[in-house]
This record gives sequence, C-alpha cells and structure tokens, in this order.
Amino acid sequence: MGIDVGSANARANDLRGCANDLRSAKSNLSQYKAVFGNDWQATEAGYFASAVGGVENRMNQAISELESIAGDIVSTANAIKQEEEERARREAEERARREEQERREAEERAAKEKAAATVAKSVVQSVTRSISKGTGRRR
Amino acid sequence: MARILINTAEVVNSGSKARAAKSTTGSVVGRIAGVRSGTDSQILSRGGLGSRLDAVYNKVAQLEREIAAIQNAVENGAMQYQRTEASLDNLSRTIMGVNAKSATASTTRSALEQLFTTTIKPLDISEELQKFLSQPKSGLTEEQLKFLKDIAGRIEKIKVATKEESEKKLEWNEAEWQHEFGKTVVKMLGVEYVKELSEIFGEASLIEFLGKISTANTDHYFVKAEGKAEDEMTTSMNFEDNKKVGDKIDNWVNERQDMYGIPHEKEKIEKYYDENGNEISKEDAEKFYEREITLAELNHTESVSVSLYDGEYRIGEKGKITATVCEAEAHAGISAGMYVIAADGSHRFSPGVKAEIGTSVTAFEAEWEQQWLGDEMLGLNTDITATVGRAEASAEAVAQIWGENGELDMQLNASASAELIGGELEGSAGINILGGEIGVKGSVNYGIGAHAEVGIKDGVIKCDIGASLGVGVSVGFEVDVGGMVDTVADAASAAWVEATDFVSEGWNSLKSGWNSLFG
Repeated sequence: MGIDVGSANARANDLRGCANDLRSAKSNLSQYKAVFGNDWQATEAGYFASAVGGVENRMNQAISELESIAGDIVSTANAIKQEEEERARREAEERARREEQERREAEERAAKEKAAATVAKSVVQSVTRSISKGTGRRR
Repeated sequence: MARILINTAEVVNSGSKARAAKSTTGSVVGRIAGVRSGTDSQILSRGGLGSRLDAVYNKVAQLEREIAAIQNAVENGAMQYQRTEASLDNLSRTIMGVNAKSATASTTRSALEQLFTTTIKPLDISEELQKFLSQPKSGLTEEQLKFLKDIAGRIEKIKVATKEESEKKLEWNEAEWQHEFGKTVVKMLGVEYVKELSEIFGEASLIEFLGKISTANTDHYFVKAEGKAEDEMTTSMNFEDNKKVGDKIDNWVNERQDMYGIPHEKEKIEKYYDENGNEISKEDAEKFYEREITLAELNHTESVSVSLYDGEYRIGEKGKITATVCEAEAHAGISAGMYVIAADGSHRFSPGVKAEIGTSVTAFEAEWEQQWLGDEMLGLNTDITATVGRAEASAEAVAQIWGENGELDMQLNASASAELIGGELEGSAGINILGGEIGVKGSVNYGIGAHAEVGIKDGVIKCDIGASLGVGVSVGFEVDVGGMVDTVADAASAAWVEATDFVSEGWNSLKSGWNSLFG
C-alpha cells in the first residue's frame, strides 16, 4: 500500500497545532510569572519565577522540536511518495518493454509460421502437380 | 532587610493561568501520542522521527508535571502565608490584649495622639534648649548658637506640624536624629508625621520602612525612620574641637541629672549576675555585652512603639480598620530573645549571639526554636553603655528574671532586677534626652525550616522568629532603646513595676500565642 501523503500532512498539522497550543500555554505561564513581580515580592517568589522561566525555555524547545518534526514528517512522506512513484514508473517501463518484446517475438513466430506454411503449401502443390502428371502418362 | 509584599488573593487567582497552561500542555501530550500512533510506520522509521516524537512527548509531559508542581507550591505557599499572617494577627492581638480588628482608625489615632502628647515629648527638648539658649552664652559662637536654635526651631516645627496634621490621615513613623557634642550623644526620637518630617528636615530626612507586609485586605507596616539631619549637622560644623562647647553641653547634661536626681557616672553601680541570678565578678561575666538597654527604657519603648507597627485592615472596598501593635510584643520578644541554651544544655545569656557567633546563626536558630517551644529557664542580659558628660562609661548587668517554667517571675530575682535598674538608669539617663527606636521586620523563607533568633547587634535588640514549612513567615523586630529623662525622673520605680507587669503579661501571651501557632 502506498504512502498516504495527505494523512501525513494531517499528522504534521496536528503537531503544528500542538506547537501553537504550547505557545498559548507559554503565554499563560508568562502571565502567571508576572504575579511574582507584582503580587509576590520576596526571595522565594524569585525562585518560583525562575522555575516558571525554566519551563518556558523548555517549552520553547518543545515548540521548535514539534515544528521540526512536523516538517520532517511531510518531507519524509513526500520522499517516500516520490520513491514509490519512481518505482512504479520503472515497473511500468519494464512491463512495456517486456510486452513489446513478446509482441515482436509473436510476430516473428507468426512470420515464421506463415513462411513455413507457404513452403508447405508450395510443396504440396508441387507434389500434387507431380502426381497429376504421372497419372496422365499411365493413361 | 527583607521586604515582603504578597497579595495572596492575586497569587491564588493567578493560578488559573498556570492551570490553563497545564491543561493545554496535557492536551498536547495526548495529541502527540495520537500523532505517534497515527503516523505511517515508514515515516517514523526514517530519520529517527519516531524517537524524536517519543522524546518531545516525554519533554512536554514533564513540563506538564512541573507546571502542576510549581502551581501547587505557589498556592500552598501563598495560603500558608495567609494562614500564618492570620495567626500572627491573632498573636498580635493576644499580645496587645485588645482586639485589633475592633479598634477603629479614629480610636487608634486618638491613642497615638495621646501618646504623642503625653509620652513623646519633643516639646520638652525644645523647652530645655530654649532655656539653655536663654542663659549666658559665653563659650558659644554665633554659629553654634545658630545650630542649637535650629534644633529648637525644628522641634517647634514638629510640634506645630503635629498639631496641624492631627486631623489628617496619619502615617506614623519613628524619626530619629542624633548628634554628638564632644562625647555626649544627643538623640531625639519622636513619633512624627512622615510628610511634615520631610518638609521640616528636607529630603535628607526621608523615612524608611523597614518592612511592609501587604495582603489583599491588610497592610502591616513595620517602620523605622531615620532623620538624616545628623549628616547635615556634622558636616556643617565640628564641635569635637571646641572643648568649651563640649563642656557646656556636658554641664547641661549634668544639670539635668542633678535636676532629676540621676546619679552621675562616678556613682554608677556595676553589678554582674550569672544565669541563676547570683552576683558574679565582672571578669566572670560574659564578654559580649556591648550596648545599652535598660528596663526603664523598655518601659519607655512601650510608649513609642505603638506607632511603630501600623496595621491596616481593609474591609471590602470601602472600609478599613487601622490597628497598631503595641510594644508589648517587642518587649516580650526582647526578653525572650536574650537567652540561649547551649548544646550541652547549659543556660547562657547570649543577647549578642548573633553578633558574637556570626556564621553560626543558622545553627542557633534551630536551637532557639526548640528552646522557645520548651519550658527552659530563661534569663535576661542587659548591657548598658552610657555616655555621660565627657566620659563614656559602660555598665553591664545580667539578671535572671525568668522562672523554671519559662514564665516571667520578677519575684524570683527581684533584688537582681532592682540592682539592674539602678545601673541602667544611671547609664542611660544622661545620654538619651529622648530617644529610642523600634523597627519590626518580616521575611518569608522558603524551605529553610524553623528558626528563632534574638540578640543584640550594634546596639539593636533583634528578635526574629519564624517557621518555614515550605513557605513560612518570620517576624522580627529591632529595638534600639534610648533613654528618656522624663521616664527616669518622673517615676522610675513606678515605671519598673508597670514594665515588669506589662512585659510579664506580654511575654506570657507571646509564649501562649507562639505555642498555639507552632507548638
């Protein structure tokens, strides 16, 4: 069964959607982090803000990776599709070549058969004529 | 000084953002899994795409867990802060003996005004200076006279401003400036209006808040204000080189001492006591007593400290209640914080523990809490550094005023305490015409543990108690008590009785409140 590029594109779009959702989550986190500068000012609030910042950074990495994977899925699917098409083309050409050869061979056989038949007919006619001549002399 | 500002309601509300982020992230995790299972195996097998999807799946799943953990920690911390603060409010009320939330702004203001007019007496300073300036002025240059008149004028301005501002919104703070005349330190301390002080002393007299804790419905100000006029004065002229001026001031101080019956330095009695209240020699006494504190001053501090903690409780959008924590809390804390039980179980007077031990503070903090929560015997250590006249003298005294059960028991060592008073009054009366300062500080600690520390450092009595369970609150205060001639002269003995009763009650309330909080 051939590769379903459309399906692969759909999966890639899913991943891109995931990346966008993570962007949304990151935006929420950014707003969340702001509370540590506005509504909670103390040493430990800095720790919390730092922890959220760490999550944001790794979320960025995940977003990039998801988008990269999405692109790779599409390109891979297209590559596989191309490979499949190339393979099919080659198979068709081979098939056509074989059929042409078979046709030629058949024609040759037919020609030979025809020639043989002609020869045979000629022989038969010749024999027939010879027989006819012999019968007349005896009379 | 740690500054704390937390709006627990907003912190908790903001958790919705974290929850949304977590929810979205969790959804992404599921969708990545869906993509993984729905993608052609031919694709997954190429370029390690399958492994990469697995990796990003794990990464996002981990992020989801971390978001949940952070949000949980933050909300728990905020809620614990809120609970602790509520407990502290309750503790404050317990110590004060009044329901702070039932005290209205007007009654609080009235009380403060009364305190200002009856206890805080910058007017007396003004009068004394005016008298002094009206005397023959031999030995004083025009510049020096101008300086002294300036002081008197500033005090008068405070007086006027205080009266004029009495109907306005109050922002009580403590202001202090000091100046050295020769070796005589003159301190002035008053409860002033921030605004007026700024206008009177200029930018150099800006008042600082040492600590502020704000929540959605409450504001707690722990304030310490410093008048910077000292800098201006010291740079404008130098009295150190003028012996006559120094003598004049010293004479003035001596006159005040005679007037109020305050013993002079040479009459000072220095006594030393061990933790059991037994008199010991100076050589056997602890060596870390460096600064002054007198019980009489403690009594005085009761008066001024009212203005040092200003609690504002907002009720809805329109209402608010202003409450003031009295100095009983400080006194109780001061007393409680002057002792340490060493690792070997021996009792030791160590008000200077923080200063003396330095980097070992953390270890002692743990011990302190254990001590506080127990019923160990406590003691009192005081160190009096007096500057009277031209000579700086110090007297050190140690007294045991705590019973075996941890309750104050003035009777236990009444004689020791009485001796202590005498010494302290001698030491402080001549120095501090009017003075003292109290600052209260607060901090929030995350994941550190329980602690309590009290000590004297650089002349400031420090008390810092707290417990960190995840996120905890510590509350402390700093007290630099100065002398007050009026206190000494008017009713030293009566003040002592009041102080002991007040301190005893405050301490016992504090202990009870502490145990109910963290016991």
